[in-house]
Amino acid sequence: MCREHPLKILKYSAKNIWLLIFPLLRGIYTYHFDKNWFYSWVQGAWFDIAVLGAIIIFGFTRWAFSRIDFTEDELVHRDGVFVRVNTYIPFRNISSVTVERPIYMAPLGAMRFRCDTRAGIFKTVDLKLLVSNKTRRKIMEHMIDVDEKKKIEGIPQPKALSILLFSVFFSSGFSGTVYLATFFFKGGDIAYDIISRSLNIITLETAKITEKLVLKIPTAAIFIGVFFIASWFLSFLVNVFRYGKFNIECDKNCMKVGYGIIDRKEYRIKNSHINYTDLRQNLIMKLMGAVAVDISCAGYGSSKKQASCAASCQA
Amino acid sequence: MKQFYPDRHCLTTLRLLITAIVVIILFAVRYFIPVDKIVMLCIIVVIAIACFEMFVHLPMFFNSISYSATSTEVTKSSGVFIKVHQSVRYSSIQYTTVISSPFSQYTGFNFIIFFVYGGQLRLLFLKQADAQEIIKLSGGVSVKGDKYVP
Repeated sequence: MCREHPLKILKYSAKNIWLLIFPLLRGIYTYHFDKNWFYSWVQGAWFDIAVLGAIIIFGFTRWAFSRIDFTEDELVHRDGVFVRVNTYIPFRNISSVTVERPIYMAPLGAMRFRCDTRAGIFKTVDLKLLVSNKTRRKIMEHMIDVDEKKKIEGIPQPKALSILLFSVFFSSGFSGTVYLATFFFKGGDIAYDIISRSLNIITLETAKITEKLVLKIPTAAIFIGVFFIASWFLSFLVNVFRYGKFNIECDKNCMKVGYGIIDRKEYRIKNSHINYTDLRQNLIMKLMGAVAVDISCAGYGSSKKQASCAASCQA
Repeated sequence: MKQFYPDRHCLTTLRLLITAIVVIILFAVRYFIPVDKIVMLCIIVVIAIACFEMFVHLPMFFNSISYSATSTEVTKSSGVFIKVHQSVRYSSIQYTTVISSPFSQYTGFNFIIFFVYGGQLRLLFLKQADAQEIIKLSGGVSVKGDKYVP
């Protein structure tokens, strides 16, 4: 029997529990730091502390009741305190398994585990867990893996240059703009302030250059140009970090794909569950001897944060 | 072929739950709305909806549900106004979720969800013994004597 990573307590507690930090900080800030400050602060904020405590206790209880079990044939996930939800997933039906290690979870040793079958209509994940490395190892022992003895040798692995070229060709100002927009929406006013300040500096600097070079380039044109170059560069960086350290292993039954420099992702895909593969090559890729392989398999790319395809390029 | 029907205990449990919710709503309405006419209107509307749900719709809904299981497939028939018949072969089941509440033998809150290619089949408000038998027939859960399998 295993449990999910204790970090899951926070998720179970509440999605936006972090918002409570601000009133807490404000409360601390407004109180004067005399020798009885803690006592007087608790006197005023005891109700808030009680609510916060209740939220965390609720999260802890849910975490304590959430369990991962293994039988000979199944992965069993038990969830719920009063209403018990038990999910039984036979190993033979699992199409793909994903392990994602986001950089911000690395110090806590937590990682995301996802497994998918061919069931369902929408692109949803069948089982999503937050686990420790130890639990991941235990789960992965039961999952399909590439047999080292029967491994297909000679599968071309992309080199660093290939990844760079791939990132160059597949980066676009448009996707960079999307990243920027996401940053704006998620970061709100802080992001807006930082970016607008940077853009102001760029505009002032470029105005000086145009004055010196006696060029009559409109500020708006410079602004658009800088914006698109910055967007493209951002998209390029995202692609490099996403597809860096790409490696692929394969045998008759299983395909193992791993990529990502900062946020490392690893997939194990059951070959017999792959619906189709799609080889894509545009003119530049043809000249460079590169090809992108799209794999369609249940669970592979079902999360919105995952890439919908694995691209292997060969310079 | 064996026929299964929803647990009638569940109807009573749902009626109790609806009554509790109605009482909470009525207290909230009385507390937050200062205009007596609006309060009266809300009380009448809420009680009318609750009565319709408890004594008309839910009994009809429970009467309409039936499950039939053979050695190869399970079929669900349900629907008050629109009749729906869903059938699933056990061989196409990818994974199974079993949901049960505390004292589910008395409340009848036992649910089985079969996840199949392209969809799911939800078997609702089962008796504990019936749920056990359906799970056994389906072969979807291999855990023997699991205390969490109802």
